[in-house]
Amino acid sequence: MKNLEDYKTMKSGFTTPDGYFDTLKGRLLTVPEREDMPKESVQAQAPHGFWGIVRPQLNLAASFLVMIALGFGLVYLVHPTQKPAIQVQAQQQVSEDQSAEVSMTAEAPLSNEGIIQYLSDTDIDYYYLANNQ
Amino acid sequence: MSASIKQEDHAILEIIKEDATRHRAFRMIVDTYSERLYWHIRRMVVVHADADDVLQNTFLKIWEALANFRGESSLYTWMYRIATNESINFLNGKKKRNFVFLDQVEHRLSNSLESDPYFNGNALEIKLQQAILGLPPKQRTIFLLRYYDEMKYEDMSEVLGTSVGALKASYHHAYIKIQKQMLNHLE
Repeated sequence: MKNLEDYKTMKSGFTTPDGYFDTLKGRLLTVPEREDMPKESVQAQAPHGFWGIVRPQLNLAASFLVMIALGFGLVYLVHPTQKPAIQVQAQQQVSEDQSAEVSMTAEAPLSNEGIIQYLSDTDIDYYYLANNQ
Repeated sequence: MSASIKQEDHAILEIIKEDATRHRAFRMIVDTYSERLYWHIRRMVVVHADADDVLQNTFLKIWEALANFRGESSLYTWMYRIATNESINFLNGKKKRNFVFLDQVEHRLSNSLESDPYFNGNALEIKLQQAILGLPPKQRTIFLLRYYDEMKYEDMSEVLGTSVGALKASYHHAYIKIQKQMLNHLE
């Protein structure tokens, strides 16, 4: 090859499947029809006015509410007497606070075995207790 | 641009504006340009299946914009511009999808050339295509339009939005580069 021009051909090794150009024009001519079809369907589905915009959002909110209601309903169905977890936690907190108050003010007599059991279950320094009796 | 294409473009432009005849104009465009644009796109994106997709998108864009075509440029350069932009967008999309640089896309295209079932070029033709794929993207487009489509610089200037002087210089550099590579290959 003396010059690049000597090597110029239209396709330069590129080929196409058999009969490609026979069907190509037919396929390309359907482009306007394909282009018009989706536009119509999108227009038909497009929201109209305020209600059209708000409606899907209300639907979404309603579906969330339904899911929450179903969740609570399911808890009551499985454990009819059990209260919802948040309520139980709050009540536990209140009862703990109350029991703490009670333990500070309780004057109930304790037995020796009770005291020993209590000391063995806690980390209270025996030496400290012994010196402060 | 040949005289027959000029004549055809003139006939298309006359019926493009009317809604009733726009489909007929589109049919004439498909008849006149589909094969020509396919080869331009094919040389840009290399793989047949990709060229087919890009060609469909190109004609979709042509149809969408046909009603607003004002005839400020010739129909021929306007369509080449759309086809070129679609090809470049496709290559850029490929770059983004594969997280590679554009020159690496061309490197991959170069590799896929040999495995493409619709490429039956001999060793020299493969070498020529690989040399073309080795050019920077814009220079490659300029080379392809001038070398294969034999487009006038004035028309190329409309297609690419680059001055005629810059196009001439760019084509000259690309031509020398490729010729050198081909000669090295033959030695």
